[in-house]
Amino acid sequence: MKFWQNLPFLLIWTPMLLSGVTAALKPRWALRMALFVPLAGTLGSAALLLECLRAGGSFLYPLGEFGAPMGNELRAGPAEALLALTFCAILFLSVLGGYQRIVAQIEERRRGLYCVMVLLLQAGLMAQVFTNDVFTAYVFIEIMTIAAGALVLARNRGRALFGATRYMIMNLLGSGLFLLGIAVLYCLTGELLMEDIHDKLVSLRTAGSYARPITLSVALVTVGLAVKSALYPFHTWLPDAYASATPSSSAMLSSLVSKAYIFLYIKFVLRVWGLGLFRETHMQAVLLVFSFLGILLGSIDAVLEKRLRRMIAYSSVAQIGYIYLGVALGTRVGVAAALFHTIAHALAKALLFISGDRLIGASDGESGFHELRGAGYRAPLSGAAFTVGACSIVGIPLLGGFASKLYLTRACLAMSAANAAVAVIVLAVSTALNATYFLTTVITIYQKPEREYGARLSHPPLSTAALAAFALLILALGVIARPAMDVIARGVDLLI
Amino acid sequence: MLSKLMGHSEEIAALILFGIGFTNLLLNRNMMKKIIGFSMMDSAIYLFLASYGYIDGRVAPIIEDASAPLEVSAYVNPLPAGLVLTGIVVSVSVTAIMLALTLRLYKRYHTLDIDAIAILAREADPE
Repeated sequence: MKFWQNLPFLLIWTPMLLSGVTAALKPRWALRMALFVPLAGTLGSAALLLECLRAGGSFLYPLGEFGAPMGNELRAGPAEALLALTFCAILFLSVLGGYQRIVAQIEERRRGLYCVMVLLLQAGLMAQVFTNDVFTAYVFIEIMTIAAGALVLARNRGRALFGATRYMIMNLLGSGLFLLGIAVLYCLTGELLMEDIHDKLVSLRTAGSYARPITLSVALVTVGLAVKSALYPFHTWLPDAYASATPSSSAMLSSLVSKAYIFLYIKFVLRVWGLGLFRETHMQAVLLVFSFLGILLGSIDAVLEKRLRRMIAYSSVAQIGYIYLGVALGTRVGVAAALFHTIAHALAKALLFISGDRLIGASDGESGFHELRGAGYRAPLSGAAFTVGACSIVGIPLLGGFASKLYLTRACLAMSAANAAVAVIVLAVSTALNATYFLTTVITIYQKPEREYGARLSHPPLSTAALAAFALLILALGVIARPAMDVIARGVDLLI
Repeated sequence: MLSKLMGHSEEIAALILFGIGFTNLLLNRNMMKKIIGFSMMDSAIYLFLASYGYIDGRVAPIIEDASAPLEVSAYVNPLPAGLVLTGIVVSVSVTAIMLALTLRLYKRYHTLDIDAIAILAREADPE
């Protein structure tokens, strides 16, 4: 084994270990830790991605002394490494972009713990990406739930407290369903490692036994992870949690936490059940309907919303619908498009939350749209960054969002003619709705203000640099869409 | 049919308990009862796993005399018990954080009713 093959383990273990160290540090140093560790994670996963591409394959990494059936395993390939790179980079930029707001909105005695939770979240994200064991996935799901709940809770405000409570309740329901799902799966197969479960399921299917319990476990895992990643109609916890937290937390929750659950779900579809079983249990059809509903109704909710941050939150519901649509197609191309959209949306949504908060900050802290008029002139860089993020989500060419919608539509066209027609109409209508609410917002922030605004917040140059980095990454993803898609497609092929 | 069901009484009890706990966590308005529901839901899954891992007449695989010939059929699989233990640790920590959250909600709003808290939170803070 070569040294770089230890990277997946180090990417999980280092933030976990350092989160304990961070708990003992003074808030100022803890915040530096919360910047430094995600940055180190970014570099580590970039190295892993390069090595995976050079070696041209994926590999298994056994943990501890015990071998495959009893022991625990990690697995890494191009898809995992690319996701890890995206997650670490966004985590770093989210903390950097919202640094000043963390200091302003979180009391000093809680700031250190906030950083501990950021590092625990990083460990949880990396574990979801790399684990090959379904029970380890469950344990880290709960760690992520606690960390994410605490990130919302950190802001000592009534609405944030309430948002965190709803977040925790719905997420615990989701993890309960997921745990029951994998318990049933374990009772049927007696295995916990993903490909072992898959092999047993294949032989159970050819023998034709336990068809109903298998369907039950597939349904439980699907609903559990759908609740946790806020697929419509399980999204009710989302707006309160996203809109009330400090902007860094909103960015992390919407761009990272829900995406990690979706990636775990993709691993279940490809590696545990296999696309054949996924189609056979009709879970694919159910998911298709939910994703259509999410795309349309999430967009309508966003159009009706009168406040900026809640509108961005509702737009997440629609975008999660897009990602699940790609998965629900049940094809390799569909899953690859879903992964591409995951990355494009994660970049754009983190940018929107952070720049949106800065626009609100330049409007005396008011988030209603009539108060935001002229915010683009009062905070020119934030306005420009917001425009880039909004255009990417709407799907303006040259930006990441355009390429991902293109791949998604192309994947939809492979379905039967009637389904493809419905899918394309849904995508077209929702793009029109996206344009309605995002471009209206962009126009609003460049309109003539109705009144004079007070002193605006000054932003440290590093926070502005984070916004610029997000905007450049979105642009880069749009420009190098084809090579990026090649990496994802190769990763998806290796996952099966 | 009935005898078949009776053979799986633990699993059936576990699924019923899971349903009760799940419904409580989802629908009960009282935060404390929600947390009780959560504990029931998780315990039900542990019952499910533990009953799956237990085989009548077999013991845990702790080998005292390493030189004696190994009789695999005398032991149960230790993995389900390990999963249950890990799961218990997870649910204890989640219960602790939920209780702390409830305490903070109660100190701020002087009620445990989540619907009342929702109204109060929205009044105090429109976004």
